[in-house]
Amino acid sequence: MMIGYLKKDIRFSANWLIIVVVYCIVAGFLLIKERGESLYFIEFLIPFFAVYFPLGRLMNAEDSKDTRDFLRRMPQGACGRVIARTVYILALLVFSSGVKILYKYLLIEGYDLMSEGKLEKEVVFFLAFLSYFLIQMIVFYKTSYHFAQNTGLIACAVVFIIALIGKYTSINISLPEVNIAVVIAVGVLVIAGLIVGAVKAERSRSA
Amino acid sequence: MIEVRNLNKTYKSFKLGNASFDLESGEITGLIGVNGAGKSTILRILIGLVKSESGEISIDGNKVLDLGEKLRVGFVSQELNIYSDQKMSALSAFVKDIYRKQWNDGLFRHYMNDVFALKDDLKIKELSTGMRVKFFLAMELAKKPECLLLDEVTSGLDPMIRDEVLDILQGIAQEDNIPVLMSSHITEDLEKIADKIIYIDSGRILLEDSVENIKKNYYRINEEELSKLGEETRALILDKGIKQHQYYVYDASGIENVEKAGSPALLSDVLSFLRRG
Repeated sequence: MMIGYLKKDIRFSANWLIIVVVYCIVAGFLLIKERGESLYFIEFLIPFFAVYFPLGRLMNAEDSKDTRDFLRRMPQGACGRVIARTVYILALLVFSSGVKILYKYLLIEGYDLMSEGKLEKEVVFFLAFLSYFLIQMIVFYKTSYHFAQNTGLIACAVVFIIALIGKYTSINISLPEVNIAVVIAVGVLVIAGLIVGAVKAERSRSA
Repeated sequence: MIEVRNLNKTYKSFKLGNASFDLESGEITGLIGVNGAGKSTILRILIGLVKSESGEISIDGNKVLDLGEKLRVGFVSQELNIYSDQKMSALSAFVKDIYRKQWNDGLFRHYMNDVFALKDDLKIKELSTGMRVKFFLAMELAKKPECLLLDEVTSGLDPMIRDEVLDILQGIAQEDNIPVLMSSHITEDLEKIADKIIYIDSGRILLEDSVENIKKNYYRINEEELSKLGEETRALILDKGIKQHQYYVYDASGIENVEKAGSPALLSDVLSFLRRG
């Protein structure tokens, strides 16, 4: 049944998924060709919007009492839906991050994913995005689609400000050296906690 | 048999108080009352969308939290703004994926094509109210429900489609021998198909009786007929009955030694009587 929910998410956002594929391929190419490894814009813009819009589309469709009740009456309720939605987000992040890494490899001379902690940074970004979208899901279940989407605008503003600070000041904004095993362990724990939180939030809404 | 006992639920401006009733297999029970009387609250408690503060629901003597615990429950409400940007085919495919074993695709196609004459390539938002009711009813029936709950489904339908839907519901209750609980504020609909009536007002059940008994007990009589009655009977009817338009409505079973005069009251008369009495 979890597969049924996942199939529904894919089917109901099919148009947006096509746009996401085109966006990742075109925007990824243009951004990386133009800005090389310019960290914040590329790391943020490609995966963020690849998930933000199709996920927003699904949340918007489910932001009515009628649809909520319709879903709540279905078997495997909250747990199945949250896990399916997490897999959906995960798939979009894997795709967009994959395209981003592939372009870096193809377009940036001498780029080596396995050197200078680059892989670790990719993992950090990936887990950070997954955590953010799970938080967005919780906000959606706790409040509404509009609140959830507003968190995206706040995230955009924060990244934009950080990027400006990095560009126009001498402050060096870069990620510290991290141990990949620790990052993955902490990330998995955080994500598991957020999934549990999302299931609880889904169960509690309109009960 | 489904037994519901002493359901209570309190909202800020509404209280459902000790709602108790039974639902029999093969019977259509009409749950009637004005808007805000508590009909939807009862239905939502029965399907588990709302938790009651106290009370019991049991199926053939076994206690359950909601009907969905033991039965396949079909539920259609008047609020059908569900995934309105999607085509019927996409939504039914989703429901089919979720209810794999329960879903009878042949039956769904039968209702869609033969009974309701619906083409599933339209989006939900492009459907009229009547088409939406038919589509969601077809999906619920394709799950072969063991109990069917309907919340004001006929409210927005034109009279011809309403009759069509009522006929289908009557057929399902009888052929599949399942209990059907249908809330409505349209008394004519329930008069046509219901076997039993539950009347709820301000969260309290004021009447639970078979349509047959209601017709036996409640009478309406106009001034002319009234004037032909004996002095004592006339006085009793005027005292215990209510004036409704051009006639009086009274409960013949509630007045001792009164002859049943006039004609059986309409359901709407009975409800007015109960409400005002």
